[in-house]
Amino acid sequence: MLFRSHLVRTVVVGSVATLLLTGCGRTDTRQKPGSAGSPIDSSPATGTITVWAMGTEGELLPKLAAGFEKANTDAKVKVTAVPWQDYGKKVETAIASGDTPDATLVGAADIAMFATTGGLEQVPPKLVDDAAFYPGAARSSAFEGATYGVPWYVETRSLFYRKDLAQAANVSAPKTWDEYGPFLKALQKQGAKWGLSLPTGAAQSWQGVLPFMWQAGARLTNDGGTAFTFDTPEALKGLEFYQSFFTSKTVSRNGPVSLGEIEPQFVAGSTAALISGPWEESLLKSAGGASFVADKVGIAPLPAGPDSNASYMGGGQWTVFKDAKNRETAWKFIRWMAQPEQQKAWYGLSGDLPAVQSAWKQGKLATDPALKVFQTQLKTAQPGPTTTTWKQVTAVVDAEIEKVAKGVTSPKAALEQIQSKAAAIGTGNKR
Amino acid sequence: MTNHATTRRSFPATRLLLYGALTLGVCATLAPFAWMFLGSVRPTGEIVAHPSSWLPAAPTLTNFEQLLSKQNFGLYFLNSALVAVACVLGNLLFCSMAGYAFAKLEFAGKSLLFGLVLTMLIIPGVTTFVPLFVLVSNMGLSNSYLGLILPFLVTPLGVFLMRQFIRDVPDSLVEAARLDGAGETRTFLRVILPLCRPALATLAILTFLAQWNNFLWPLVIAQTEDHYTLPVALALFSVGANGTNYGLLLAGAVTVVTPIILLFLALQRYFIQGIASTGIK
Repeated sequence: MLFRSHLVRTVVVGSVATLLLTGCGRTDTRQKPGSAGSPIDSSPATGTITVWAMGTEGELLPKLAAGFEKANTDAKVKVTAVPWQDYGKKVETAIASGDTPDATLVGAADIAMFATTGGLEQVPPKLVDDAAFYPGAARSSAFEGATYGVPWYVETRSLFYRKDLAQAANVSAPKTWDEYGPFLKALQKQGAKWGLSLPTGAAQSWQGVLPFMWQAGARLTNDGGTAFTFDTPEALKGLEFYQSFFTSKTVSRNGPVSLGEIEPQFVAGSTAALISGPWEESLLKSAGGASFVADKVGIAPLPAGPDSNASYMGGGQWTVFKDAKNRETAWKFIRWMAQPEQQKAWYGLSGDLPAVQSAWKQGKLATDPALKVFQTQLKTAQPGPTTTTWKQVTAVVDAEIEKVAKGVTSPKAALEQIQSKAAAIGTGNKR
Repeated sequence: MTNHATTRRSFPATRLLLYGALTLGVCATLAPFAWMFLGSVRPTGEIVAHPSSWLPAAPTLTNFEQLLSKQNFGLYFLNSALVAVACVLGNLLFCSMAGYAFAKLEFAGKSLLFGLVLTMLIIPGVTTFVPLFVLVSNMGLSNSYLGLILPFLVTPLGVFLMRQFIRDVPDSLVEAARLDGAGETRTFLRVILPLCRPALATLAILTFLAQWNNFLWPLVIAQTEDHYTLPVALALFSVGANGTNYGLLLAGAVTVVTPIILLFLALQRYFIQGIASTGIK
């Protein structure tokens, strides 16, 4: 008893002391976004740069960088491979301390989040031609009217379906929303329990659901990107279409919730179609074998809604830190990697799809039928809104669309919820 | 005879129920470990196969081969071991010293200082994460072993645990040592520490576990691969942006977990004593 009251007292005294010592005030943490640096000339690069690249990209990048060192004999590129897991934390702490490398690869969706800390330098004027990239990729590098990233590779999602079931049912891949449902029902008649797999109840579900709204013509922010506009008839149409898959028992309400869950079901034939990106082929190969992929997997662009067949676009972009020690060489390296030849070489090394459109003109990129599908899809694919608060908003979206999928709320009520919460969060964009 | 009879009487109903429940609990606890060990010897395709089976169809060591063929894998293992062992030693020494002072010595500001220690226990680590990084980085310790170790060399939990344990050591023992002419150092080393073995073993396991599994701190503080620890390297190799190499991940998990299991088995007896006598995890 004595101990307890004593304990309480010491905790209180200690807490007060800590607060006094640390100063409990809060300052405005928002800094000025990085300013534009001077233009980069075309002289050969010199000196050493350190760059971060994530996952497989980090393991393979030294092979590509060797070519840069060959062309610029006085330059050296040191690559640190960083795990994708929690890489944002690493970038943020580096920015906070000023102890940064020269450049880093970042996920396209995270640019706004890093740019708003003021730790990234704007892309120097005329470094690259924005029109050379897929429009969606160029869009995700812009934040508050300035550009912070140079697209490196892109990814988007298309429709993978069981070709053998479609042939048996004598149907071909749907091109429009009207053909979507009947096509999937036909596959189900061939013995598949579910016609399609759609994300629900998992993080990042929004990437699979917002495209329905885009396809219906919705734009999720106003023109200046200063306010969210989820409460439009178009968005409602998209969400209602998403819901229709569940009410017609075409898609499981319990969706795949973790990575690697859907492939075995697709191989087993219990789910007849899924929406995924370029990496799916190798996952399916590891789950079902090469012959399965060759004989039984078809791939088609997403069926178009009233407005378009827009899909989600992600990918990797290069950014340079404001505290970089050798910004000149870092930007020169990035400019070099955005050249069509290097984009093609990187595809050969890693399988990552080039962000530069002209890199797709020769070789496997121009001839492979599956890649052709992704190429078509990339032309209209778009990223989520580039706002600093987007991560918070997606958490709301993920929660609400799960309720729609599970049938506990209507699309209209869900959108009202999303809109009011998103409005409360705000875009964080000043312009 | 009586003993035997008692056992017999209570066996059928309650005992059976008890053993049944315990067996169930043990199975539930061990199942994920069994899955991990079994999964580490099969290809990823088979791990995610649906429907799944417990026994590998064709056991293979390719996951381990793949893991060991990764450059520097031995180095990551050594880094992890070095960091964990250094933190264990630091905690054993400094936490017990601080604990002794808080439990047995009288000095000005003692309750204030102890209050600060308890406050640190209460404040979640995430809130101090970035400031801590900035601090360590400004000290020029990013990308160094010291940077990996220093922030965890003394932990508030360890100080609290040692203080609670040492409080229960009778004052008369300390007084006797002083009467016999022992100084504070000798009293601490010869009288207090030998009595603290269960608490020290508990602290050793808790610290080792925390450091061995630590992911976020090594991830941000290591700027080049040669300072990566096992969990960071494992995440790098097996968790992609859009897919996970489960075979490799499970093989890595086995590699990471085995030393901990061995350590726990070695210190098990003390560990349980430690928990029982200090009343905290």
